[in-house]
Amino acid sequence: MTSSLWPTQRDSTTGKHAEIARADNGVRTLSGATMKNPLDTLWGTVIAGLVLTAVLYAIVKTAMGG
Amino acid sequence: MEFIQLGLGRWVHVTAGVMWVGLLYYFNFVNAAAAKAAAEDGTAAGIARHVMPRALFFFRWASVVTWVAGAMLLGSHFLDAFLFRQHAYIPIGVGAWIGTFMLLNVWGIIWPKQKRILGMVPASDDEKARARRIAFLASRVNTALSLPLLFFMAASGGQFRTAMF
Repeated sequence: MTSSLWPTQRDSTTGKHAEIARADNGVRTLSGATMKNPLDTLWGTVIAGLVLTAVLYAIVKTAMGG
Repeated sequence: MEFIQLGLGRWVHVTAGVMWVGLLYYFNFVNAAAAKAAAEDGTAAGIARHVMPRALFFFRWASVVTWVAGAMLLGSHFLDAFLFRQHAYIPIGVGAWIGTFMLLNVWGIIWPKQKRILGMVPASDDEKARARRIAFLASRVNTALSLPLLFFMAASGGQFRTAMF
């Protein structure tokens, strides 16, 4: 995985941009856990879309008094 | 006048929308994996040179035609939908907002980044790699958004709205 594909953040001591800490297949959080981006996979993207559809449907149905 | 606005307008809206979302699905379900495989066997140049510019042309202009025809369909109810001023227009309003966001995503992020990736705008290898990642994620966001978009478009008319909401 090339480093240029990931966002950078400015290091407060050196003033240079440094990569956000990451694992081979996801971003490593401060606690050390690995967090993957669901949009990196097609299934993750589809599931995210379905969840968003369900949430918006519930909100709209409530707004319409359903 | 109604024939043009509601008849031809809906036809153009749906046809252009099929082209827009169809090419979006092509990029995400077919081309992303194909480009990766082509890069590994050294045949990616053909896709970048001959396929992507043509596909992106129809993709970005179909998004404009879809939005304009959709706005024409809403007509005098345009603000009722976008501002959720009437209950009946809330579902299509949500769809309209999602479609507008997707349009801005195409023209504001995906197309400018693709121009760098394809060499239409000068960019270093590092800038191209970064543009590739951003364009990829923006395209995936639009793919995810297309699901609620199509749901609210399909569920917003007549008996369908009554059944769903």
